[in-house]
Amino acid sequence: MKGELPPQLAAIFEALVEEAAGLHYPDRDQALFASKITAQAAEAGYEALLDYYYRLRYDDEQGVELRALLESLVVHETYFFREIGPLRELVKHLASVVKKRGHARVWSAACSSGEEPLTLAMLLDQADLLDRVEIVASDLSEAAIQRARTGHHRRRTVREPYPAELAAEYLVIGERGVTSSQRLRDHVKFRVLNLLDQEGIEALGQFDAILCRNVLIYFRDSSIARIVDRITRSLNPGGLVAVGVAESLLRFGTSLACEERGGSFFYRSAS
Amino acid sequence: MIQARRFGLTDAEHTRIEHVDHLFALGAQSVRELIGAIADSSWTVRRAVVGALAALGEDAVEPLCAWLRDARTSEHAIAAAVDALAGSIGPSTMEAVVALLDDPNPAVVADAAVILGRRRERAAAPRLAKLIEHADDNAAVAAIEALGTIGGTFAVDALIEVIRRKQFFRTYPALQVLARTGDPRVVAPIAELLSDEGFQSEAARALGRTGSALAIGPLAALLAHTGDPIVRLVATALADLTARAEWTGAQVPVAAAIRMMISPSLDRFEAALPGSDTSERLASAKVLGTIGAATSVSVLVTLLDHAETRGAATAAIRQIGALHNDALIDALERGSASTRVALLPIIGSSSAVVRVRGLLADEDPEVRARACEALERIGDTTTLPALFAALADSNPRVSHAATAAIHALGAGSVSSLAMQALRSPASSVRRHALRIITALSLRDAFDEVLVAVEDPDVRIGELAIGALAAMTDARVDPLLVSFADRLEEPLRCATMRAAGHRGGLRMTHILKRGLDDDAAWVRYYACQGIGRGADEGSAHALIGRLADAAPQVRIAAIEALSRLTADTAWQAMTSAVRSADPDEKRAALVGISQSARPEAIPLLLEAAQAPAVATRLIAIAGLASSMDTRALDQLASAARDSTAELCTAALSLLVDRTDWRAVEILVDVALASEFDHPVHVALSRPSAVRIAALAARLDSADDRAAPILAAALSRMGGADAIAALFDALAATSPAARSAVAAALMAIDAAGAREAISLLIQSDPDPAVRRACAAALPDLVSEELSA
Repeated sequence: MKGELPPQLAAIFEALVEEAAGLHYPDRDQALFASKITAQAAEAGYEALLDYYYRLRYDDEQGVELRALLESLVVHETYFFREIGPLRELVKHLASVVKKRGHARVWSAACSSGEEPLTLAMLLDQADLLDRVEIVASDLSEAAIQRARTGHHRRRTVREPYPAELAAEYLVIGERGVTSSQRLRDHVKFRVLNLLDQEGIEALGQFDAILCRNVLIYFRDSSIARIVDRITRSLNPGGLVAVGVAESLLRFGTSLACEERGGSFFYRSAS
Repeated sequence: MIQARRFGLTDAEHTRIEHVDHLFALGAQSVRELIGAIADSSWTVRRAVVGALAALGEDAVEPLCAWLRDARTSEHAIAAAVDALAGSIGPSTMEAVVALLDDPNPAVVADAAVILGRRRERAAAPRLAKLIEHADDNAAVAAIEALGTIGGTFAVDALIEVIRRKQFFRTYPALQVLARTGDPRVVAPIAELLSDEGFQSEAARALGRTGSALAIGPLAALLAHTGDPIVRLVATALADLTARAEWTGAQVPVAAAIRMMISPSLDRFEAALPGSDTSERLASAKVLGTIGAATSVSVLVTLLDHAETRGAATAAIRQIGALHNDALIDALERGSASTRVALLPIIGSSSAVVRVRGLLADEDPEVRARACEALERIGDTTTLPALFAALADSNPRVSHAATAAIHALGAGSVSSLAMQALRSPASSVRRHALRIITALSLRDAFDEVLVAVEDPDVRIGELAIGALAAMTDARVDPLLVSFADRLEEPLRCATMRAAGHRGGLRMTHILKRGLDDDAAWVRYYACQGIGRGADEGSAHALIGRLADAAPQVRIAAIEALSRLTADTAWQAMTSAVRSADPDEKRAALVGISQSARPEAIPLLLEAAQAPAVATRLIAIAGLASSMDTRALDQLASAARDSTAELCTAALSLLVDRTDWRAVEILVDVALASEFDHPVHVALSRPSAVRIAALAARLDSADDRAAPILAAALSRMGGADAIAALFDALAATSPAARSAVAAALMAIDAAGAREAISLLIQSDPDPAVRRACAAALPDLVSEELSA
């Protein structure tokens, strides 16, 4: 039930998961990967992992079992007000787009249970821009998107220190969980989307800003390059991409220019 | 010859690359034209030209040198010419390039130094050392960097002289090179630079990279300066130093020295953490873990909320937890969910049992799962009722972790608790109860398990059949015969699995019937069961299943055939290994590996080149114990592979071998790898043959190889490895004697001081005597003993 898989078995499962969702498990996460797969296999009725693998490969036409496996593997590591500095800068950028064009669009590309786009929505509301900025938020996990839509978040999605006045206005923080404002949620269009799904990304349209923060760490370099390429194509001229503070797109040879705004780094498409 | 990637190139580039291929095929006569193409505007074409000129070898060496000396038409072209000579296979390349070092043009001299460095031409080191004094900075820096690439301690004295002169452009690269030599003589002159603000930062980092305990005192002295930046600088240097000491096997004395000299400034390290960047936080975590103070836990838990620092913080907390378990339990009590997730795998003390049991009700499922795992580790059987309650958890990861913990604890009360769970109204709990009954083969549960076969939840029926199969009871086989005709497909599948586990004639009969079942998964498990029993009489029927419409059945048939000895089975596998389906191919490869036939080797060698990592892993595992030279070559190649999984697997397979050649391969890979490559850990796994082979290589090692070989023995530890190090103090190679002396002092080996004192007086080589003297006045040891 725990420990690592034999390397051959780990390799075939990793290839399967990576092909389906791009997710990559480095060495340090192998034990967790093994325990999640083992639990999911047993849950699907397979005590032997190889039997489960063949089920996923050859007898799962609708992808039901594979989706269940991916749901069990994805990490919902997010919280309200996380790295809020870049979000405040992004609001300034969106304000300038609204001033010029009357409206703007922003995409939170791996929103988990919605804490990031909802934080952005709070800041836009404070700037009186919420009605003029369309927020699209997507995630691979159907369960996470469902949670985002209901507005019931885990208690640990609010972590000290946080801006108390924003929290007081938009969140109800209880002993066991957090509830987000219905008004905010009404302004966010939540979607289930695989970042490797080119057609799905194209269907979302063009954006003035894309948040792709703290998600690239779960992908192998080759997948990141593909994702960055697709994201870049979804960006309006002059649009911004934000990645996590510990992430960088420079080594992937992106056509986007890296620039600093108010102490935060963004990648901008040519105007 | 040159395989251009056929995508992303223009037609014109394709044409030019094909022309380059054509010129290469013509040989020496085309060298002039190839050199003419070295300035091509396309990077890809230039790469092709470089490859062709390097592969032409001797014929291209002189013309390329002449071009570098006289033509030098553009920076792009110069870089290409340097690349071609760096990769040239011509035997006279070194000689021709060394001649360029006398050129009056400093740019040519610098290029020649770069080429020699990239070729790792050890014989050119004396000439490069002289170049350090070249009047032109670029030429001198190129020589310094080349010496750094070549490695070893050859030019230590000359480089020490360079840093003492504090010439801006030359001191920085010289520091880099000196820090990597592993020669204790470098510490003092580098430390002198700490007092110069212009060099302080780089000197501190260089001291860290030396990995020497001698460097800790000067770094600690830096803390006399105020301000957080200096603390972060020292933390970064100490983290490097610790990592390097782990490599040399000297982590224990180095950690002791850090605790002694840095602990007084602990509060400054803790205070400086919040404003640090990621790399500084990683370094600080390492230092705080090494110091091991309980107060640091509350600081380190703040790093657990961030993915990039979580691993380092967890490792540090683990170190501290070994000394201060209460601090861990306290952090578990007060920390966030991320903290609990990170800390629970460290918890193993019975004093934490109440707190951990309480976490079975945590809101976070990952915390609950890890709490189950922690309770299993703690091993307290009074937690069994709580673990049984966790079987009802809605998150499968949690309920399976609880099941695993119950299996492991397996005390007397498990039986009654499992029976109670089997009567639970929740079907998920009944399923887990059956898993526990199966794992523990609880024969007393026979009647209730038999009832469970008819449970409305067919998955419970499946598990119940599995539980019956695990019981030693004569009533089981007749029951299985009757279950084989059940209408529910999952129950027939379970029956086939059960029959395979039990074996015997009656079961084989069921399995053979199962091969023709309408349901693919029943046929699949029937194949598996026959394979498990290795029933030779079923070979023909299994071969028939190789044409099954369901891929998983074909694979199971191949797996089953791999257990049989019949020639027809072998032929089926050699045919399946050519399958376009990677899983069929892999199943056949596993069988071929098990056959131990000589004909298997070429098939496995071919599969070792497959694009899929899993296929390559199976292939190299199949080659692991072969004494065929080609198999060993393949393992050597895999050990150098950039795919981490393949490299790790190959290293592990090589470590398991007990032949001399396997150790030679590990040594060769280690000598060509950076110090953080996993080969170093593999090489230092204790074994008599590895000690003997390392000692033999050490005897004639040069100054680059000697520290690596000595470090492998140091890390290995144990009386035999240390004795081999002492023996190597009398090695033929002076470099080996110096490296071993430094290694023995670094690990503070008993008797090292006396042996090295003797060497200072008696070694015929003055360089060895100097190196020993530098290692011996060990300030740290003296302060520690004081």
